[in-house]
Formats: sequence, C-alpha cells, structure tokens
Amino acid sequence: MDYFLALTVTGLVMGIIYALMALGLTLIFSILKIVNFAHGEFYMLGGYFTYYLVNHFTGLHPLIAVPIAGLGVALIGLFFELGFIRPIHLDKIERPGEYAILVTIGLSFFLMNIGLAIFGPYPHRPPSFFDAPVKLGFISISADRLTAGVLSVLLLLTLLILINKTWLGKALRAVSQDKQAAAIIGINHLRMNTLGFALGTGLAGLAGALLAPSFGVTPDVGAQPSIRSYVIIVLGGMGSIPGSIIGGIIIGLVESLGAGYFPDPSRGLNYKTAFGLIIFALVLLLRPRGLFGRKEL
Amino acid sequence: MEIEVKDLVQRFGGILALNHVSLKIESKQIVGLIGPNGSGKTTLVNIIGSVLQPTSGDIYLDGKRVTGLKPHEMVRKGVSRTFQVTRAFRRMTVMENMLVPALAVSPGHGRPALEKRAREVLDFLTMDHLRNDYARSLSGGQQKLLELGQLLMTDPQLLLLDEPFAGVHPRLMEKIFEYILEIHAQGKSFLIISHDMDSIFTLCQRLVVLSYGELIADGDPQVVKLDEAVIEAYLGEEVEDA
Amino acid sequence: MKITQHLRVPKPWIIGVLALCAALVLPLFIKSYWLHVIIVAYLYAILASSWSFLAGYAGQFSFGHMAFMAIGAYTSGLLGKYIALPPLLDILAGTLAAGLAGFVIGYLVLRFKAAYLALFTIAFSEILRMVLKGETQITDGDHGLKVVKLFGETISRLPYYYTILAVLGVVLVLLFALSSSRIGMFLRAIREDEEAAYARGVDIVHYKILAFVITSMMAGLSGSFYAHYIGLITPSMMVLPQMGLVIAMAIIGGVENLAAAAIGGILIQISLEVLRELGAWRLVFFGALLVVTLRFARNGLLAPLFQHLFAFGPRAEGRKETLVDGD
Repeated sequence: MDYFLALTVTGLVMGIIYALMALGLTLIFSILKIVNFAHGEFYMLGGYFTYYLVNHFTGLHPLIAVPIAGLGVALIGLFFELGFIRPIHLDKIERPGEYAILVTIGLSFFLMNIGLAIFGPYPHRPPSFFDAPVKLGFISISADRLTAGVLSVLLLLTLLILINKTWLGKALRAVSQDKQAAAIIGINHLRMNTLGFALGTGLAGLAGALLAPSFGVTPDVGAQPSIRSYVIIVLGGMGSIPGSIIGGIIIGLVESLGAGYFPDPSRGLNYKTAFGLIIFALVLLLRPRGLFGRKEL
Repeated sequence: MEIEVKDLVQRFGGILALNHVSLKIESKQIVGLIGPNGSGKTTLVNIIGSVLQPTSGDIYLDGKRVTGLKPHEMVRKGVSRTFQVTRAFRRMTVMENMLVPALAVSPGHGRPALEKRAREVLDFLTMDHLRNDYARSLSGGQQKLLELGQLLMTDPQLLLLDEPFAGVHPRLMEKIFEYILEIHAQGKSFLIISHDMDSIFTLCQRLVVLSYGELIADGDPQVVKLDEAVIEAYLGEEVEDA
Repeated sequence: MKITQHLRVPKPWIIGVLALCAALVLPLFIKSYWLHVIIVAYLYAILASSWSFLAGYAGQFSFGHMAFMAIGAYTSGLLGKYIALPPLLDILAGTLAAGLAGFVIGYLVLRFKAAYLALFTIAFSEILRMVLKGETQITDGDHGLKVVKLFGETISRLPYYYTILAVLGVVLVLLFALSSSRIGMFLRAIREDEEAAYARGVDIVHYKILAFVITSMMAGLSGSFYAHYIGLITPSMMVLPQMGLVIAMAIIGGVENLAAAAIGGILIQISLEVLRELGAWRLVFFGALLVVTLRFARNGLLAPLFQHLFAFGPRAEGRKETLVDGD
C-alpha cells in the first residue's frame, strides 16, 4: 500500500508538471492552430538556461533562475514566431499546414544540436532548490520534485487566472475562436499569435527549468517530454485547457504506476513513456478528439 | 442510366439535414435543384456522389443498390460531381488535371489515347491552348470549365453540378449553357444546384425544390414556380427573377 | 549538345548515365575510409529520396521512415541471430517486414490529417525504439546486435560499394518510373486535394497505402543492407534526430524532386564528414539551413538548380507558369 501511495504521489507531482508543459503546447495549438514539434527543445533550453545562470552568477539561488530561464526561453520562442511562423498568417507561405510541421521539426533539430554543440553530450545538473528529502508521513519525495510540483500548481493557477480573468487572456481566447471576428473588434491577431507562442514555449521552458535539478539536462532531454506533451494534448483534446491539465495528471499517474508495477522493474523505467504512447495511439484511432476536444480555448 | 435515391435521411449531430428525401433521375434529363440556403442541396449531391454516407436511406443505380460505395467507385459507375468552390489540382497542369480522372476510371487505356481525348474535350471547351498551364494560373471561369472537362473525362452518365454559374460572367455563362446542352444531347443527365433562377429556368426541364431538408416540389419548372409551398419557402429570401 | 541531338536521347538520361559512370569508377580514386563515407551517403540517398516520394509526391509527411529502416535492420539481424539464414535471405525478409509494417501504418493513418499523421508516426517510431532498446535479451539493446556481414570475411569495401550503388540505382529508377506513371499523377493529385482526387475517381486508399508500402520497403532494404554492412546495429539508428537529418536532406535537396533529394542526401552526408572537426556545429548549420530553406526556398536548394541547368525531371512541380487572362 505504501508503495502504491508513493507511486501515486510521484505520479501526481510529475503529472502537474507535465500538465504545465502540455498546457503550453495546447495554447500554441489553440491560438496559432499549429502543433509545435519543437516543444521538447524549449523544455531543454529551460534546463540549460537554469544551469548556465546558476553557474555563471555565483550566489544566484536556483529558484530565482527558474523564472528568468522561462523568460529567456519565451524570448527565443517569440523571435522564432516572428521570423518563421508569422509569415504563415501573412499568407506568405504555400501549403502552410505542411510548412508548420516541417519548420518546427527543423527548429527542434536545430535547437537540439545547439544544445549539443554548446554544452556537449554529457548531463549537466543545476544545484538543487532545497537539499533534503521531504517526508509526508511515510512517503518520501525529493524536495526538488515537490518544489517543482508546487510551483507548477501556482503557475497553472496564475495562468488560468490570466486566461479567464484578464483582458489579455480574453483576447487570446478570442483569437483562438475566430481570428477574423477578433480582428473586427480591434484585437491584433498577429500579436496574439506571437504572445501565444512565447507563452507556450515559455511554459515548456519553465517545466524544463523546474525539473533540471531533479533529472539533469542533456541535448536530447526534451525528446520524451515532447512526446509526452503530444500524448497529453491528444488525450485531453487538442486545444482544451482542462484537457491538458487532467490529461497531464492521468499520464503522470499512468507512467508512475505503470513503471512501478511493471513485472521487470529495470525495464519498467525504459517503457515509462510507452504506456502513454499506447494510450495515445488508441485515442488517435478510437476517439481522436480526446476527452475534451475542441479547437478553441 | 437511372439513378434513384429513396428515403434519404441525413443527420449531422443534432441537425436534420435531409428528411426522407426521395428522387429519381433518368437518362437525358436536366434537373434543377433549388432551395433556400441550408436546405440540404449540397448534402443531397454529396450523398448521390457517395462522398457522404446517408444516416439512412438508399441509392439505386439502374435498380441495383449502390449505397455505401466509395466516392471513386461512384465515379466509375458514371456519377461525377463538381464542387461549389472549384477544386482543380492547382499545382498540376490543365492536361494533368484532365488525365487524372481519365486514368482513374479507365485503367486499361494507354496514356496517349487518353491525352488525345483530353485534347478533344479541351478543344470543345476552347481551352486546348491552356493545356500546359498550371491550373492555378487559370481564371475562375476557366477553372469552372476545367472542372467540367474533368467530369467529361470520367465518361459520366449523370453530372452533378454544384453552383456552376456562381461568379461567372455572362459571356462565359452562355458558353457553359451551350456545353451543358450539347452534353445533354448526347444522352447525359444533369442535376444542377443553382441560385441563378434565370439559368435554371432556361436550362432545366424539371425542377426539384428542397426546404429545410424536405423535398417540397418536383416537376415542371413553370408549375413549380407557382407552387405555394415553394413561394413560402422563399419568403424572406431575395428571389432574383421569379 | 550535338550528341544528344543525334541520339535523340533526352538530356536527363545523359546526365544519369554520366553520373553512373562516375560512380562506377570512383573507388579507383578514393581511399577506403571515404568509400565508407560514400556508402553511407548512398544509404542516406535512398532514405531521402524514398521519403521525398512519400512526402513530396503523396503528401504523407510521415516520421516513421527510420522506424521502417530499423525494422529492416533488426529483422535481418534477428533472423541471422536465431535462424542463421544466408544474408541475402535476411535482407529480403527485412525488406518484406518493413513493407508489411508500412502497410499497417499506411492503413492506420488513412484518415489522419497532417499533424496527426506526424504525431502518430513519431509515436510509432518511439515505441519501436523503446522496445528495441528495452528487450535486451532479444535485441542486445544499446550494446548492439551483431550481424553477419554480407561479404563475410572480405575486408575490402568494394563489394559493398557496388552493391549499394546498384540498390540506389534500382531505387531511383523505380521511383522515377513511378512518379512519371499514372501512379505518380494520382499521388500528386492526392497531395493537392485528397477529397477532389476521390471525387475524380482516384482510389485514394489504394494509392496512399501503396506509397507507404513501396517507400517503407526501400527504407527497410537500406536498413537491412546497413546491418549486413556495419555488422552491428543499435536502436540509436532510429532516434528522432536521425529522422530529422533525413528530412533535412530531402528538403534542402528539394522534397518534390527525387534526384535532388537523393543528391541532397549524398552531399550533406559528405559535408558532414568533411566538416567533422566542427563537431555538433555541423548539425547546427544544417538545422539552420533546413529552417531557412523551408522559409525562403520551399522547393529546395538543389531542385531549382537542376531545373535550371538540366530540366531534370520528374518532379512534382516544375515548369514556369504562363499567366493567362480570363476568357
């Protein structure tokens, strides 16, 4: 029973962090109508930024590095959107559907190799946020993960407030529903696109920054989170916020319990993402719109 | 060739697009299909073309049940349709656009023979000089003609035309009339959706009217024009030339 | 060119024959190490051109190509490990296995729109990779599965070179033939507008699956050959960045021009070797080149060049348009 609870807690904590990242992907899909195939690489960048900041500025507490890293990643997303995605919405691109997929795949390839070129193939690990295991009754979980989880919850709540209660959030939702109608009432959909992409990639960066102390960063660290995010948004329904959150938690639990109860524990870890992928394949084949599928926020 | 749809019902989620529609079209008929917006005309054409499977009801070709055929199989049986917004293959040449349907329905024929036939059809449509141009460089009217040409390459018995006159300037429209009448003279049938009452009354020997998914009139255009139910269906709608 | 006028042979074929001659005598001029580089370059050429057929002609932007390659490689390898078949039969089996996988995947993704197709094939690729990596008892995972070499104890790379050259030649001829046939036209129509193609009588199910099966067999064949050439295969051959590299080759070459994609593959692979000292920055460069090419030179960098110099066909889109005024 202890084992089960421990796995569940881990699953929930990781699930929330996954949800944060998946939410970024869903936002991008919802507002810009494209799937960001480089999402995992923004996660990687978040990790590397954190590492770099803490290394470079001695005395900087890792927790402070996180939001800065997130911002840095968002800026990169912003510039990429301006240069390579905005043209789609300016009708400068032929066969925009194909282009969006290919250009983000290209970006993914590019970013990963930048990470490899600058930092090398070996893992880098920023120092822990807090250096102690935490005990909740009989369950122990690392403080880093717990912190990451708690911060993710806070970020999610902030984001939900932003989207539902602020003017900016409403503008984003308007563009996601009907960009022409939004334009008529004076919302600049191009700017909302850029903001949406920056926000979405920033969230991936934050997730990467939050988990970097726990898992370390390598150039390909984003591959699995990337896939996991696709799984979550398809499961939850592309473009659905509650979908990404609930989907994230489900996947977190599935991975944790699946790996934990796999007959051969050593292989169980290897197949962690596979459980989600099987769900993913099934959803695509049987109920493509997922749990809450709609296109708008 | 005789095509019959019996008791077609089409539901999209909660919306009833077609409500028990039955219709029979025989050889050498030009039938007009009219009705207010949203009355189910394109849905009906989609079902006849097998692009859409009806929620219930059947299609019969010469007495044989053909419900459930794939779109391309329906084309091979002699039923082809155009689209409301022309969908030629934009980045392929006019000739290639003509060859695709030709090759698709005549697997045995050699390409040179089909190219020759394509040129004949293009000539008929006075478009042969454009045969090596990309479809996307054609004007809107020319693209409509190209679609008609594509239909002809499938050797159809029934041509379903969805708004063939929309946005076409008068001179080209006359030509399209000519083509339709010539093709009709060869024994083919047409089912034409149009909002252009002038054209419908000029061309069609028979008029079918849909309103809210129901077939409310079917017969001689002059008689249907005066039908109360039809007039009521159009109340509140601008009728161009009643 | 007087000779061509006399022989009435269209120009592209002359180029092809010349290229073939050059390739045949190449081993005389280069060291064994570079022969290895070229062999691998030919493999990439097969992968890039077959992927460009699937994507650029049929419009199926699948990311499972390396998975099919791995299926070919591992089928070969595992058959060799457990049944000890002669390598040629292994290769045949690997090719067929990849074709079967291509059939299944092609069938499953029939109704998927572009992004879902991409996601599904990525998922398929990853699941396969995880299984290959995880089931170390069977596949030897990351340690690597040992595979009997095709030419046994021969140290020379020459037989491998000519074999893969022949395979590349066959693949290119086959792809060219397909693309200029009615199959090629149907696939292009499907890519242009699938629904319209269906409505014009094209059996889109049949042709989409056909494109998958043919190209997956080619990928599988190259995987099997690779296994019997290198002698050791690991799941890392099919990590997503490898797929990214093949995509880069096809796109930079020209995804709608099979020859350009193939040559793009060869050139990029050679460049990677030439620029070896730059380490990971080589890939950064090609990554950037990929993105910029997509944005500003959609038809690729090599394809327009070929069009200009040789009117090199076949291609999915080629001639200049004449803008004709309305009737």
